[in-house]
Amino acid sequence: MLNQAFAGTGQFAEIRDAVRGLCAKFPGAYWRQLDRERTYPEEFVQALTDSGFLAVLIPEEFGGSGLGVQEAATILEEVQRAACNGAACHAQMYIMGTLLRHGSPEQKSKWLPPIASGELRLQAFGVTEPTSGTDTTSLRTFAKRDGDRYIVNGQKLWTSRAEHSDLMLLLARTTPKEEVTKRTAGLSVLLVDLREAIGNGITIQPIRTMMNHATTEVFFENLEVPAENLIGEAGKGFRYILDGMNAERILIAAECVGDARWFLEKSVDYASQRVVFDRPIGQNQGVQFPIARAFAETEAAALMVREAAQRFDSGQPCGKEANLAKLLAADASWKAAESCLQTHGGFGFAEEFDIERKFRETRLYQVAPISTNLILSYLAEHVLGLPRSY
Amino acid sequence: MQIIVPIKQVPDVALNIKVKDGEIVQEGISWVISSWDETALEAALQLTEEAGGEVTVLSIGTAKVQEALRKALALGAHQALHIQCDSSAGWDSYQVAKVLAKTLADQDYNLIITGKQAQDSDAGLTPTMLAEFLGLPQVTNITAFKDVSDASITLHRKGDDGIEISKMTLPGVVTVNDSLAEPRLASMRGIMMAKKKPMETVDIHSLGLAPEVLQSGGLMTEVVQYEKPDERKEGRRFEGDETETVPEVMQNLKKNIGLFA
Repeated sequence: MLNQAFAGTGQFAEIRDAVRGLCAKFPGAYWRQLDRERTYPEEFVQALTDSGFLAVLIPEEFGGSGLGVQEAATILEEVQRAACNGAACHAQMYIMGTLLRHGSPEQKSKWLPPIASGELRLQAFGVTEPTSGTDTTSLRTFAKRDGDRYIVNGQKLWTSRAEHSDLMLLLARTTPKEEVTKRTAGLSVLLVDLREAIGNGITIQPIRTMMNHATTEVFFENLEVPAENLIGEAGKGFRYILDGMNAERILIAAECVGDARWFLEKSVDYASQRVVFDRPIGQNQGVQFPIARAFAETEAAALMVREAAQRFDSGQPCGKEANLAKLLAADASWKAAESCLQTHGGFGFAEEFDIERKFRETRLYQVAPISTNLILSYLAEHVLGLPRSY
Repeated sequence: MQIIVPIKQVPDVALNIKVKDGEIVQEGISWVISSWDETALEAALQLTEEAGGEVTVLSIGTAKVQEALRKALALGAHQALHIQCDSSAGWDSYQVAKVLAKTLADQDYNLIITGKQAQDSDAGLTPTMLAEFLGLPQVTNITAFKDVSDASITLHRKGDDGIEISKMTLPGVVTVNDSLAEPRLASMRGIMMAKKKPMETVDIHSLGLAPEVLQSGGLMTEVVQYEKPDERKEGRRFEGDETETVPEVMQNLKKNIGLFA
């Protein structure tokens, strides 16, 4: 039974309604089986693709809907609120932003229509490396120009969905770090066609994690990438991916809001119905206060997500808001998850309640795609003007 | 083939609807298209996809019903007609059928398809009254359409022990059983296209209806108050070896509800 307190705003009601309808076809049992087998939700991703939800940010001229981050955030919030898992495909929405904003007209015409139709999946983003982590400018994967191609060598880690994507956006050094004046220079973005690359210079190794996330480590050994697949100008790749990160943070923050609302609804339902010592457990302040606090924090986070998305869509600077949204929403979903598990007692640990699965899934967002600690560092340095701490 | 689908916007029954002092608490209600009307729309869309033509959706109410009409357009209806009124709360089936009949009197169509009843009132009276007021044939509870043309249609009607097959001349009115088709879901493309499809708004007072038809509350019948059924008590699960649990279940059935006494 849906509770209106967790329904969010009435904005984009038609999109919310349509996404809810689609998600209703993928109930908890579907996700539990995938989770047990650590398999990719092919049918769910295909349904989202067929309905055009993953192409919401692609302009109409390339076959998408040409809408903004606000609509995309609404879609992902509803996916999570329905206990589905948008992490299987959310990157399809924002990775293409780099191609859209910085790709040549020929690249956009070639790649965006098949991405919009679902013929091609662009869900893999090769950035993080074993030795560099969040210190992106220290990455070591190198793409050496050789005539009309680049030769790529190196390794990426935590590259999610690489096994289920046709294309990968790759950030690699094209000028050695010691030869550039600024550490952010000398990085370039390449579009890698995984259909040709796997077995011909790329090896993908899946990493089993505490949740079903399809993450991998990717090895590059003399991978040949056509020079025409360079996005924008060589050496400016770091800037290109930075402006996509705000969209990523806003969208994942929206997912956290969806998670939080699902946890809160489960908590309220259970606390209202579960009778112990002749009264509902929700009558106890010890049970209701953590739920109420998580609710308050969720609503505050949702407002920040909306503010960040509106600023993004209207072209205003939104680094502060996007980071605040991600921090607050990830904290809210984690707090809601914790109170939900505690409210349910032993039942929360039973698979059939889906709580333990969602608990594991939402924990990720304290760490990815950006650690909450790094957000605090960003806010301290770039918003509050405190000395750089790292 | 031109098909009219009247749709009703109803409270979402998936929500926890509250009743206070005999009235439904309006705050927090979410409104959706009555599910049987969604089946009717799906049937109309399938018919026009096979035989050509257009689907017009129609609804009576405040500006809020445009949300339901817009959703119907997103699902594939070609145009929408909104009969705008200040409030249709409390109207009975007779009033609704009168307004629909007056609206459709000068429209050009082959078929009117509706849900067999509305999800909120469950009365199932409006389609039959509408057929009567328009002087049209009607077949109810349809599970399948065959041999579709602009002049006639073959209808499969579900009965208790079999299927009744009828041929109806057109224009006519049909109500559908929800087993006829699974309503489709709106796609992002459909939602975008819906914004560009025509939606005409007509003031209900411009239809020339008798004043009593538009009176607040029911004209032939009146809902006096609402009551919410008692909530079901929590179930009990018997776990363990069946040689122990079965006697325990039997004992409980005897003791608590008097079975096998």
